[in-house]
Amino acid sequence: MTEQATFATFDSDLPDDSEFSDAGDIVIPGGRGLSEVLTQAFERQGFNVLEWNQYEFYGWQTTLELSGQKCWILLQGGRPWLLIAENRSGILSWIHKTGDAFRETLLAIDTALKDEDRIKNVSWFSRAEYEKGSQVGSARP
Amino acid sequence: MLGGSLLASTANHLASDVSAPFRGSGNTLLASAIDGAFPGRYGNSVSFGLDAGTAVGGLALGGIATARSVFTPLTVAESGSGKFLGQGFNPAQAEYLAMPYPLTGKGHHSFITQAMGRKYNLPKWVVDNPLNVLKPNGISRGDFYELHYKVDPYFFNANFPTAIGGSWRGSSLGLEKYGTAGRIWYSIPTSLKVTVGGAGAAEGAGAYYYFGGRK
Repeated sequence: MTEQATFATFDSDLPDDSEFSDAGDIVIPGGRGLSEVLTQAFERQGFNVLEWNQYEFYGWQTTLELSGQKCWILLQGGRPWLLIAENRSGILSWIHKTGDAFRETLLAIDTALKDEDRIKNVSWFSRAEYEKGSQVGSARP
Repeated sequence: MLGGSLLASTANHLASDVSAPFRGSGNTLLASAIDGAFPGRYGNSVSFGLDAGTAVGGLALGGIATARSVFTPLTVAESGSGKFLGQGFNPAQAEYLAMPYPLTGKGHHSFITQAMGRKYNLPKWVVDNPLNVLKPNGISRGDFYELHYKVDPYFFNANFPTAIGGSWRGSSLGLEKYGTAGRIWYSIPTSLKVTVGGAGAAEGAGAYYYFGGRK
């Protein structure tokens, strides 16, 4: 069984809004502005988007809700940007086999990304593919 | 921070005391076993050992293994920008990566993440406690990124400051993430290893003394 592609990479013309300390370490990771753009894009697909929070020193996280499904999102910088999606619908949903529902969620995320003008070159990878440094992903999750 | 230093200092004294009874001949097997379990991390470290007859059980082994990790720098400062130039970074990027990872850096939260802290409204001193944050002393920024890449299943990339441009990507460097056991072990902050290792080593030394070391 092939591993589900849950890593999306994309380019954006939004400026890098990372903030660094005087010593040069990342204080606020890039992506805060992009997260606002993503919120609008996700909401257009019917998602309820919870508040974004900084994740460690390198990313921004939120949870998307759609038809009882919960999907955790982590956005992190780099060129291109990386968006990781994880099924967080809980064990009851897992028992009821939410694999298909999660895939529907991923497809909705894909549509949201591709319908947003400030986002380009969306590409999907499985975790294993991304960790291996693959440069060419799939067009769809 | 003061507590952490005090702890480390205490553990240093403790370890030097504890190591003495364990010195002896024919004791490389244990050290080798420890090195084998954690390859590439403990070479050239402080030499601890046991005579075959003085093994005092798993607790002592745990204490010694931990002590070995505590007194060996997690990442030898290969520093210098040469390493990073060799990885394909341009001179400005390599210099940035070779800089010491600052004390103001956030480090890696091993057990209580910052998100958990926010969710449960935990005080900052709990979340950012040295027992919870992996931030080895003397490590360069690039080496810290590599360590963080290996122990954090979600960390992949980091941007360079705009003036430098570009980004760091772990998978492009051929790095591999640790499995669950390695992730747990290597993400444990040194301060916590000192605490647990100190206690384990002390208990091991006590057992050694009790069961025949006191001749």
